[in-house]
Amino acid sequence: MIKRFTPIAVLLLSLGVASISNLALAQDKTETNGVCSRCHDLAKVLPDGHPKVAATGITACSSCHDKTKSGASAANPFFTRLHTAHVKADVACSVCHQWAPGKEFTAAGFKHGAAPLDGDEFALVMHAMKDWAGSGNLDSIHREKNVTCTACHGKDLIPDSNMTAVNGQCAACHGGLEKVAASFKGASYLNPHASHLGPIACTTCHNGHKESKSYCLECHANFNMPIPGGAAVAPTGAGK
Amino acid sequence: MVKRRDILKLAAMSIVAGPAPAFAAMARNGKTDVVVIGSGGAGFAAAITAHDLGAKVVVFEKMPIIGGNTQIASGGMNAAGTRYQAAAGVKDDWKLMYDDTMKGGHNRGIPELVEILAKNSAASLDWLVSLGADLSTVGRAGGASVDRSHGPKDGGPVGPQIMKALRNGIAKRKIDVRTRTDVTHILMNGTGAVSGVLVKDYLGHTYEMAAKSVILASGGFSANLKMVTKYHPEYAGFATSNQPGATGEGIGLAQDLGAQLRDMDQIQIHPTLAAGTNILVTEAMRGAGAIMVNREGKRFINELTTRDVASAAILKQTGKSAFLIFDDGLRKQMALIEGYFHLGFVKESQSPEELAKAAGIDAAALAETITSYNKYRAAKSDPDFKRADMPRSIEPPKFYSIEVQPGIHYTMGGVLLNAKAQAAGLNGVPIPALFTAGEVTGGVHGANRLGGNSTSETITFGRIAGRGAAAYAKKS
Repeated sequence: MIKRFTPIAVLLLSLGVASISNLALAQDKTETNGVCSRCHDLAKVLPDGHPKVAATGITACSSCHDKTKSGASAANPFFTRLHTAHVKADVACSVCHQWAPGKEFTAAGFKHGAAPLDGDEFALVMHAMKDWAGSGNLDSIHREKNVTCTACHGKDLIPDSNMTAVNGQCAACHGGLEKVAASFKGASYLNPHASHLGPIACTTCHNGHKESKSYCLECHANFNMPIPGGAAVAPTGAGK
Repeated sequence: MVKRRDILKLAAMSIVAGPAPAFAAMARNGKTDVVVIGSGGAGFAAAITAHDLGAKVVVFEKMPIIGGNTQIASGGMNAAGTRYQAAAGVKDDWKLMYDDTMKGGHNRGIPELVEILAKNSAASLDWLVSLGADLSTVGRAGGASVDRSHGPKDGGPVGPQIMKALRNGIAKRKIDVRTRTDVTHILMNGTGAVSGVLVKDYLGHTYEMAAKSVILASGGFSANLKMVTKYHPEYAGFATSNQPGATGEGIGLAQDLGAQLRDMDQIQIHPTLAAGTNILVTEAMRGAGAIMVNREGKRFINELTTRDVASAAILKQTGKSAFLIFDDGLRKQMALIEGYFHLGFVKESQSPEELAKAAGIDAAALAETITSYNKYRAAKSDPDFKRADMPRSIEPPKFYSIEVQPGIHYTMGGVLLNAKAQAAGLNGVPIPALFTAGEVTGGVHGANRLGGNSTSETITFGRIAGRGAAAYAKKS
């Protein structure tokens, strides 16, 4: 036990950060992480008719509620439901998850999690989760269709500068630029997916975790270019 | 229970609030042979060239998209003595292009650099063609004495054509291009040689990319009105035709290393932005036969004159704007004109008089101007403004107009470069391992850039910079 947490303590001390709370978290996690019954009375929160659950940890749920077996809640898969509820209630990630700077982000009982995160990145993930849970941005639009983090990001939650994986995943589900362009109903010259800027990345305009905005408007300020997850854009008369 | 959860929440928050552990930044650090700053025509030409000479290259681009101003270049690419000119029966050579460029730049361009531009132009064009660009059509651009402005067969804009070829070339070679990544410093080692860059990615993470040489190809500053008005306060409130990232930080990066700047006050105003917008109406329209009139319905200048003269003349007209007048024949000839219709810039009518009314021009005078111009063309002589090239008359059935006004278009000045595309220090001696090309530089265009010379310059000096940087990397 001591051996396991020493590197974290050394790191925190070397950074000169007050480390008490981190250590408290770290020492706590084996007895707390992912133990639903610490907060919930399982007999009360499980829906009527739910089979009896003997264990108290999250793995007891995930053995049935996984990607392929969403149990009785097919229209509202478990991962989405669970995270939306907890994030909206402001429950800290650490209540269920284990993480230390530079380590994988996992849940108790699971062997592997997301790729290692540093402090800044962990903050970004927290922000993104909040956004995803109910912002109106593209992430929450995807949440409504039960699309969760790794569906867009893969294992590396933090995209590279070109957002390569994310852009690849946009195309994998929605089709490439050409296919999306072909479905455009408006006048061809206003087709944002067949612009004179060439094959630009989806994420140029479509932002997962903040308001989306058409890049066209940078120059063509008078275009009416509504975009999912964006502010309503109305024509403003002459260009800027 | 509640208490415990609060403690845990605080615990988690204290982690995020703390500084980022140092190892994360270290993990992002890297090293390469050549760093290229900017992904426009100059940067990509340099990157491909350096790569093909065996250098490992990383390109940094601060914007979310690549291409810079090259992607939106509409006119053409100037090149003298090309196979396409020969096929079209155009007689041209580097000396004529040199003379036109020197004259157009009011003899302020550096002769040695202008000579390089002209002499290498045909080879630069061939190089782009070898990468898959279609530049097979020649036309006339302002200030050129012959047709040497090359563009794609369909009359479309030249920029997307060039960038498509370069982008494919970059992709084929799997060159590492990082968008949304801002270069904040160019690093110098103890011997005074450039040794890499510090960058900041889209998440605000700073990291170092060590390099044996660096190519600065970050573009001009036309979209930085604060910087423009520092040199020309009278341009306050002007629109720009440039992409939003053309804000000139690269010039500051070079200045921090003691680079010498040149012609910073030489800023080109393009005469024809669509009035009230920041969208450029190509001067190739005038080259192909459009005329330009004022509100009084009269021509007021040789339409093929240089940009500075045309802009100054427009600003003297009533309302500080003018009107391009053209017909269906010209519309059919140039694919890119359709875009102006889509953008709502064009007024159209069956007769010059009706067109004039729709556009707010004196009707009788406009009809008279068109009639006289057609006569001048037939006689091959323009006694009013000595327009040399009148490729077409303006004929029914339809007449069109686009209201235009000048806007900030190009910054001739920037980092002084030498014939090897090395950035010059304050003492004139090159800064070791720092190469530069494209609009960030100063010295090629003098006091006024001719249309079609910028795309030409980016490729020619981009390739020279790429060769120089690769050679420097190899020997160091």
